[in-house]
Amino acid sequence: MLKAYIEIAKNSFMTEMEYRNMTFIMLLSGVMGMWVQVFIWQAVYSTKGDISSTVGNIGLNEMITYVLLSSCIAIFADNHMSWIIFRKVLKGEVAMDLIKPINFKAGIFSQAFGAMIFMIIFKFIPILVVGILFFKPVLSTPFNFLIFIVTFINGLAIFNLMTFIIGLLSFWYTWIWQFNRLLASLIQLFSGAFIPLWFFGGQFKAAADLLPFRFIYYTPITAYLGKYNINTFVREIGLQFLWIIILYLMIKVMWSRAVDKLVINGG
Amino acid sequence: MNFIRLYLAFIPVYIKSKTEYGIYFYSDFWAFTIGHVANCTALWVFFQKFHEINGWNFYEVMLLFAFNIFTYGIAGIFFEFQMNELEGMIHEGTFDGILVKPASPFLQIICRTFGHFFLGDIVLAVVLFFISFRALHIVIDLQTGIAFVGSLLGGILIYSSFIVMTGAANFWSVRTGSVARNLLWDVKGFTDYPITIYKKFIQVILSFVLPFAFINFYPVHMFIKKGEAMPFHSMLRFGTPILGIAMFFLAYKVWNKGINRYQGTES
Repeated sequence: MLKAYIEIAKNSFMTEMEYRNMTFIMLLSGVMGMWVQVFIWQAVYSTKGDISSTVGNIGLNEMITYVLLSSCIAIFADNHMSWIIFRKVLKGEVAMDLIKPINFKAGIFSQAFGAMIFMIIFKFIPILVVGILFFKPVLSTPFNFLIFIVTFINGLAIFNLMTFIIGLLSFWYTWIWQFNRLLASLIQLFSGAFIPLWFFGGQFKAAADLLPFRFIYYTPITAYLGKYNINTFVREIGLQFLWIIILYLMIKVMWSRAVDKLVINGG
Repeated sequence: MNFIRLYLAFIPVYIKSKTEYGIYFYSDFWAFTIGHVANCTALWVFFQKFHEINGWNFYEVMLLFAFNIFTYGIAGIFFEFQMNELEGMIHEGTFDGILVKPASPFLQIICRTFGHFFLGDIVLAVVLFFISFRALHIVIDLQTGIAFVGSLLGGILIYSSFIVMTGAANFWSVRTGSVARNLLWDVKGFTDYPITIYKKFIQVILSFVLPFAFINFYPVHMFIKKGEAMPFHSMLRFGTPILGIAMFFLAYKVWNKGINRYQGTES
C-alpha cells in the first residue's frame, strides 16, 4: 500500500525535475528577497544599538538570522496542495481518483511531498549555503534547535492543512486563486514572516496571537533564537497541536460534503 | 486613431463577456489587490515601531509604493497578460496565425485581452496618493501637476518597456519571457524602499542598468525632500519621462527585431 504513495511522490518529484535548469534563477530570486530585508534591518539598526522587544533586546545579527530562517521557511510554505486539488477538480480527474483503491487525501499529500523533496534539493540547500556564507547567522543551542525543528514541522503541517482546505473549496468555488491570495496576504501580515511579532504590542499583536499564522514563521524562528522559556515552549507546541486538530477536523467535514457535492464538468 | 476607436469598443465587450462569470469576476478585483493592501499594512505596522528608515517616514515610503503600484498597474492592464498570452501562443504554435493577418502583430496581441485584474490596484494607488499627499502637505498646482503626470506617464512607459521586452524574448527562445519577467519583478522589490538604504552598486544597477529607481525614487524628489542630496545627480528627478519614451522606443525595436527573427515552433 505504502508503495503506491511512494510511487506518487516519485512521479511528482520527476515532474518537478523538469525545472532543475532553473535552479540558478530560483536561487537568485530567493537571495534578492532576502537581501532587501537584510538591508532594511541594517538601515534600521544604523541609528540604533540593540532594539528592545517583548522578549528582550534584539541585535542586528539576530535579525539577519531571522530573515535567513524566514526565507528558508518560505520555500517550504509554498502553495502546492491547493493547486493539485484545483487541477484535479477542474479537469475532472478527481472522479477517476475516487475509484482508485488509494486514499485521495494521502495521494495528494504524497504528491506534494515529492515536490517538496525537489524544493529541498534545488532551492532550500542552495539558499541555505548562500545565506550561511554571506550573512553569517547566529547559531542555536542543540535544545533550541530541536524545539525549532519540532515547531517548524508543526507549522508546516498547519500551513499544508490550510492550503488543503483552500484546495477543497474548489469543489464549490472554481477560482480558488483568490483564496490563495487571501491566505498569502494573511500570512504575510500575521505570521511574522516579515516583521517579528515581538516588536509589537497592542491590537495588532493581540490579533496575531489569536490567529494560527504565527505558528508557521514566528514560533519556530523565535525558538531557534532562544527567546522562549520552558513554559512558552510547552504552550506554543500545545497550541500548534490544537490547531492541527481543528484544521484536520475541518478537512474531514468538508471532504465528506465535497464528495456528495461533486459535479464533473464533462471530465 | 482608427485603432484607438476600435480598442475603446473592445474594452466594454471584454468587460461584458467577463461579467458573465458574476461573483468570480467581481472578486478578481479585491483578490488581486489584497497583496498590496497587506504590504502597506505591514509597512504601517513596521513604522509604528521604528518611525523612520534612513530619514524616510511612513508617508514618504507610502508615496514610493503608490508610484510603483499605479504605474505598474496601468502598464499591466495593457501588456502583462497579453505578453503571457503571446508566450502561450508561441509555445502552441498559434502565433503564426497572427502573422498572416493584415494588421500589426503588436496591436493584435495588445487587443487579445485586457488586464482588468489591475483595476483594483489603480484604485488602491489613488487612495494611497491621497493619503500621502495630505499627510506630507503636498499641494498640486500647475507646475507640480505637470511634473506628477509626466513622471507617472514616464513610469508607465518604463514598466511597459520591461514587459514588452521580456515578451519579445520569447521570439528568441520560448518560455524565457515569464522567467525573465519574474526575475525583473524580484529586482523591482528593491524599489519598495528608498534606494539609499542599499549599497552603492545596487543603486547603480537600479538607476542605470535596470532603471526601476526612475519609476518612484527619483521623481518623488520633486515633491518631497526637495533640498536634500540625491544619489548621483539632482537632475535625475526630471529624467523619468525622457527615459520612459526612450525605453519604449527601444522595446518596440526589440519587438520588431524579434518578430523578424521568429521562425515558428513547427508545432
